[in-house]
Parts: sequence; structure tokens; C-alpha cells
Amino acid sequence: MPNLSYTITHLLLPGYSNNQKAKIIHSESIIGFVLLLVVGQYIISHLSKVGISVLGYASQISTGEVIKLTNDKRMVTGEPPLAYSPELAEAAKAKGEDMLAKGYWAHVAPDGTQPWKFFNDVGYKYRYAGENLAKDFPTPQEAIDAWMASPTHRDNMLSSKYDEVGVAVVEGDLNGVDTTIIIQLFGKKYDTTIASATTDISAASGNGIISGSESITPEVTAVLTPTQAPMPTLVANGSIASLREVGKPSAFQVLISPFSTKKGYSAAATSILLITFTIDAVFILKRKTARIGGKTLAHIIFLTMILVIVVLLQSGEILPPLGDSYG
Amino acid sequence: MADFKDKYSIAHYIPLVAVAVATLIGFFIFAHDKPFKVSMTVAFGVSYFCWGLIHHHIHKDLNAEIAIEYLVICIFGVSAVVFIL
Repeated sequence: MPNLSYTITHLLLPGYSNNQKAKIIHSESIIGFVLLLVVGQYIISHLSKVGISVLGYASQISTGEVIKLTNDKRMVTGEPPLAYSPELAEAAKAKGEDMLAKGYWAHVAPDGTQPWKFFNDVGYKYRYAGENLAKDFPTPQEAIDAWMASPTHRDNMLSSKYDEVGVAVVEGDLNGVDTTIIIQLFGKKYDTTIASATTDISAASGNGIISGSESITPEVTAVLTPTQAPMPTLVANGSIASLREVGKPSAFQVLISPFSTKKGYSAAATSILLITFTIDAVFILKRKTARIGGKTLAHIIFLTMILVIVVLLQSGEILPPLGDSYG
Repeated sequence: MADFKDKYSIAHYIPLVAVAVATLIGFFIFAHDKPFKVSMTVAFGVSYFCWGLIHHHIHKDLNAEIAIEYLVICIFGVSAVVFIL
């Protein structure tokens, strides 16, 4: 019966029992690692489905903070701050719920539903409208930084065309993966103080900036002044119909981040292989053992770079800009 | 002759390191573009696999076992990154 030291030696060190190559780094063992990696990542991604409530990113993202950070950026460039619009916030929430319900990550839904439908549904008569989307960012600051790093999203945030903003953060299952989406809608209403004839609004160019293109005679209506009401932080978790307030945890929560856990898992698996290759190389060099096989140095270079990428990987994704203008 | 072969062999690693560094730089620049990150990872893995084949072909010791070794490590590396994204 092989003892522990024999097992460790067989797995980690080149010797007679493993054909002068650590067992862990044999091709069949690496295939086993791949399978473990895939299965493990799958389980981590779907923890919520087995009844474990996973604390995702949404609880760390406050809609008020997103608006504040956006206005901070605008202040730096000399633009006036955007006022919070409850209508745009409602439209943003509706857009987020629609994305989760229909399983899409895009400005335009697969069934052709345009972004401005949500503006119209809440009765927001816009002169200019824009949309920024982001998903799976752990903090509002990182989402803002990602938008600012993208010229088109940055244009939306800093545009002088808009004077109102609404933000929603929704969390749910998007195509089988727990996802947190930030929807940021920008708008400027028709100037209701001008009781003029037909107003033609030309569609702005794409890149996330959309505007109505219909000819509409503006009606004289009450001017809606965005209120300074406290900005709610609502998160839709799981079911679209159910909402829970951030800061009120449910009865049982496992406080793990799926992204960080998957990173740790990949990093651990890669580290094990990397260390084994290194130990194997040291022993082979020391013993001057002749061996037919791949270049260990190349494997070490490749796996080291994979480990660096895994460790430095950032969560979060923003959508590519829209193509042509709408109208 | 042995010195020449050693130098030649070391020079072979330069393209591999260059591709690795380029991939890392790409990950920083396109930090939030998932399709691009996936593509870069796959490209890096394929580059590494091709590097292995070419390197061993030049050294006249390429065989199926070595090719499979590079392939499985390539698959492992790509999986380790892609399944996080």
C-alpha cells in the first residue's frame, strides 16, 4: 500500500514510478485538471440555483452613488449636474427587467424593442435620450471608470444635451448566469415653455445617444421639475416582480462573490500546475535526466502569463456603442 | 556547435514571450470588452500551441505525445481564463 510520502513524490517529483515526470503534469492529469476546472466553474456560476443565496455585486451598487459619480465627472468638465428623474429611473428599471426577462444584453432587444420604448412607456417626452449599460461591476466607481474610458459612453455622461438622469440596478439570471446590470438613462425633455409649431428633431448619431425623430407639436403642459427626493436604491433579485431594498439582507446569505471565487479557483489550479512544472524542471536539471517531452520553460512561461491574467482580471462589461442613429 | 544550438533555442522563446506580453497589454487596454478578451485568450493559447509545434519541428523531435502535451496545456490555460469571463 503506497504511503503518503510515496504518493506526494509520485505526483510532484520526477522518478521511476512516473516515467521521470511528475504525475500531475502528465497529459492525462492535465486533462483531469481541465475537467475539474470546467465543472468547478459551472458549479460556482450556478450556486444560486441550488438554493444558496449568493451576495452578488448589486448590494454594493447604489443608484444614488452612480448618479453622484456621474455628476462629479461632469463637474470636472464644467457641465451642469444631471438632475435625478424618477421617470427615467422607472424606465431604466423597466429596461433592466426586460433584459432579464428576454435574456439579452444589448441596447435593442432581440424582438426589436428599441431603447426609447421605455422612455415612452413612462410618459417621458424626450428631446434627447441616451442609454449606458454595464454589467457585473463590483462597485459603482469601476462602472463609471469603464464608461469614461469608452469615448462613446463618455460622450453620453458628459453631454450638454442632457439635463436629467435615471439609474436602475437589476440583478437576476441572464442566460443562466447570475448577472448585475446597471442601466443609466439620460434625457432632456421637450422645451414645454415654447408653444411653437411643429418641431423637427433630427436623430443624433448612434453610439448610445438616441433621440426622437418624429415631428410633434409640443403641448403646453405643466413643467415637470425634477425633485430632490432621496434616490431609492432598489434591486431586483431573482424574480422580476420581487424587489428588495439594499441593506436588508435576507434570512440566509452566503457572502461570496462569484467572480472572485472563480478567479481564486482558476488561480489555484494554475498555480498547482506551475509549481509542479517548476519543481519538475529543477529536479530534471539537477539530475541531468534526459527526457523526451515538451519544453518545460515554455510551459512555465505560458502558465505564468495565464496566472497573471487571471489574477489581474477585472469584472464588468460595457456594451459596444450603438451603430446608426435611430429614428 | 552546442553554443550555437543553445543560443538558437533561447532565441525561440522571444516570440513566445512577446505574444504573452502583447496579450497582457491587450487585457489592460480592453479590460471591459468580453468578446475581445475571449478572442485574445484563445489566440494566445493557439499561438503557444503553434509555437510548440514549430519549435519541436525545428529541433526534429516533434511527435504526437509532445503535440498532445502542448495541446492540453493550451486548453487548460484558455479554460482557466475564459470560464471566469
